[in-house]
Amino acid sequence: MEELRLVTSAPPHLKSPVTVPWIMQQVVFALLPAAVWGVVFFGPRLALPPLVLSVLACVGFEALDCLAFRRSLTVGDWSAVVTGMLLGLSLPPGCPFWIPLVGGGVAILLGKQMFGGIGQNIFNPALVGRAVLLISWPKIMATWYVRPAFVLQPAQAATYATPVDVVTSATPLGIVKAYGYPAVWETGPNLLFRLFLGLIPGCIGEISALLLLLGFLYLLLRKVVQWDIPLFYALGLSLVALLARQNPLFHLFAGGAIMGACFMATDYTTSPMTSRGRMIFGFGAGALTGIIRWLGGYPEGVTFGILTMNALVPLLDRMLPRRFGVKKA
Amino acid sequence: MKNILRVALALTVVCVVAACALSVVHVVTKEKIAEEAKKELKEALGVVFPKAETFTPLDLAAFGTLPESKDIQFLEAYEAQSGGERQGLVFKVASTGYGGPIVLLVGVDTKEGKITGLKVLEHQETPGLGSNVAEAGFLSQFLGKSLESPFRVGEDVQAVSGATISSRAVARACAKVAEIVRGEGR
Amino acid sequence: MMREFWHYFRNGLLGENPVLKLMIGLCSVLAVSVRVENCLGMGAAVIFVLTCSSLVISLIRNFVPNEVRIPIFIVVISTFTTIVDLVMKAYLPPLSKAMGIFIPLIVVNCIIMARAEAFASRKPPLLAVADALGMGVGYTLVITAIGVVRELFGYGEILSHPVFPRAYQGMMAMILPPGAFLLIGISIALLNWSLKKVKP
Repeated sequence: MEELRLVTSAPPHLKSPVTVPWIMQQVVFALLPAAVWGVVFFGPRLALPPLVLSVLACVGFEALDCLAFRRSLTVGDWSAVVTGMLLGLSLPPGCPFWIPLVGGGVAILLGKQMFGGIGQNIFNPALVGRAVLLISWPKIMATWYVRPAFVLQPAQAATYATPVDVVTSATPLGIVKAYGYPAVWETGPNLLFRLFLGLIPGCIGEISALLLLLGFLYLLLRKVVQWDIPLFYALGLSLVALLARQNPLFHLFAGGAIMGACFMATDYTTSPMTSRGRMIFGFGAGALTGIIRWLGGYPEGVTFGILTMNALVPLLDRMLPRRFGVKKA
Repeated sequence: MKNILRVALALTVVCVVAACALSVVHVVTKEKIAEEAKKELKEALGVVFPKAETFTPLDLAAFGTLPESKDIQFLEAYEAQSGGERQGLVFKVASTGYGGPIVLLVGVDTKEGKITGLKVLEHQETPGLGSNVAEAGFLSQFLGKSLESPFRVGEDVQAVSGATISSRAVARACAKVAEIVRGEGR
Repeated sequence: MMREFWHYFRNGLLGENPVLKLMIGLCSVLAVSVRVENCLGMGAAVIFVLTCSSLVISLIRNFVPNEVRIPIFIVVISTFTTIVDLVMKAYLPPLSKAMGIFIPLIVVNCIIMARAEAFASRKPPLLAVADALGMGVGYTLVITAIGVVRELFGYGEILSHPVFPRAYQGMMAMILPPGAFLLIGISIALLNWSLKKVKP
């Protein structure tokens, strides 16, 4: 056997500016527009506490875990901040204060530290937290507060008479599940336009497709993420939407599809390493999202769609190994 | 040959001993189990028809063609009596909910044409959402409802929030029972 | 003999705990551990069936021909299971209802079959009973521990007595089967971690 000769040359060495904290900070920047819009649209009283508490919970629980199990403190890599932001942005505005705390704890302890910390986890931590919250408190996670002007009403439901500063409202996907797909188009004009801009009830940071796409564009330009997963996610979701004879654009802009495709499915540790693997991964997550929305019991399928595909990542990496120097696999 | 006999003998002995032991236990517990089942049924029937003292099982065939479909099935029927006089009927119905059939008792006062009570016996609805249809908070809205009501979720029946399908299943059971009783009265 | 007895009894509690180490009999743990009461009932049923059948199988081990040992074990186990099922139905109807199909299913619970085949059919009666008791108590301890966590966070109660203030909203993930899966995984992780710490 020939001996591998890896020699460290004499300094000076080139140090790459691309570090984990830098990447994570870029993601935080990219999420900021959507977060700010959430706070403006829902008002700071409804939107700020979940966001702030979720970030604090994630960072706090990671620090606690590192101390309790005598691990080196990994809070400085900003990844817990990203997890906290993703979780906070996917919570309903006005949820009780303990929802982000429990969610953050589950996300970090169960979703990340249990597997060995950053880089070791199989499932996206923010989605693990959200999934446990969704299963545990379905009512709270489906109670959407919004200013009265933006309430979505299906034609069948009674209207609110008394003027109050915030009221609960159905979300577009909730209306689809409860009253059927046509009902959502009867809720008012320019539905697609409002979905795209974010003038609808929904999760704090998921409402504006436009701002999330802008953030994603920034990440693309900074070469922090690649385009393949989101594109194939969109393809998968659109295909299922077409099969269901529903508008693909509606499904792309509604709920957490953009947030999931651009920011959650693209997580390095929980997505495949090869390009082909990522295409299958993205397509599968998008298709599952659509199938759950169309045929499943939950109105929204992003969380479970991506988590299911996360579980398949080790398999995809094994089936489609990256071969150095080989053009065609 | 000898081996086969030995094997057969061993199996036979073990089985005979087991069978004897089981029959003893069965004889000892038989009465008590039947009693418990009866008591449980009586209690459940009492909840849906508190005014009656005795319940006699009826043959479902006596009601002619039942309004059954793949979403609703009639399992049993009882006549509720008080002072030897017929007060009403109780039906055991299986209505398809979200997680499977919801089996429930529906009590009807045939004299006043009203629902006297509902009790969910078995269900596989989602805990925390659909499972709330088994709670008094949801079921009490049916108490004293006239059999002429439409029993439609969103109109005269308020659904459990987040569990429209489960709520519909209960409402459907009431509607179908009402249909039978109205048909019988004519 | 007494020392051997304790040795095999302790073996089932920790070193070869059926749920956390051998990982057998998990389906009943997942299904029944929603409330502590059910856990205790299930544990008692398993201890009874396991001990009785281990004792009987050990007593008849020299009489049982090798070719038909499995059918004979099954007859013995199912006899005791049916006895438990009938007795519970007669005298503890609510508990029997809560555990439903899982009492009859003790027949096919791997713990009992595995201990019959691997231990009771090879060892003298006293040791077979020691092993059965250890395994049964080990099973009961784990299922009850999981039951405590699930009932506490799922319903906010212990043995159906409220523990948390009334405003507490139950964590549904604990009541549903995923909660049991997660808790079993976490328990295994914690056990392995603590055993590793004991002997460095």
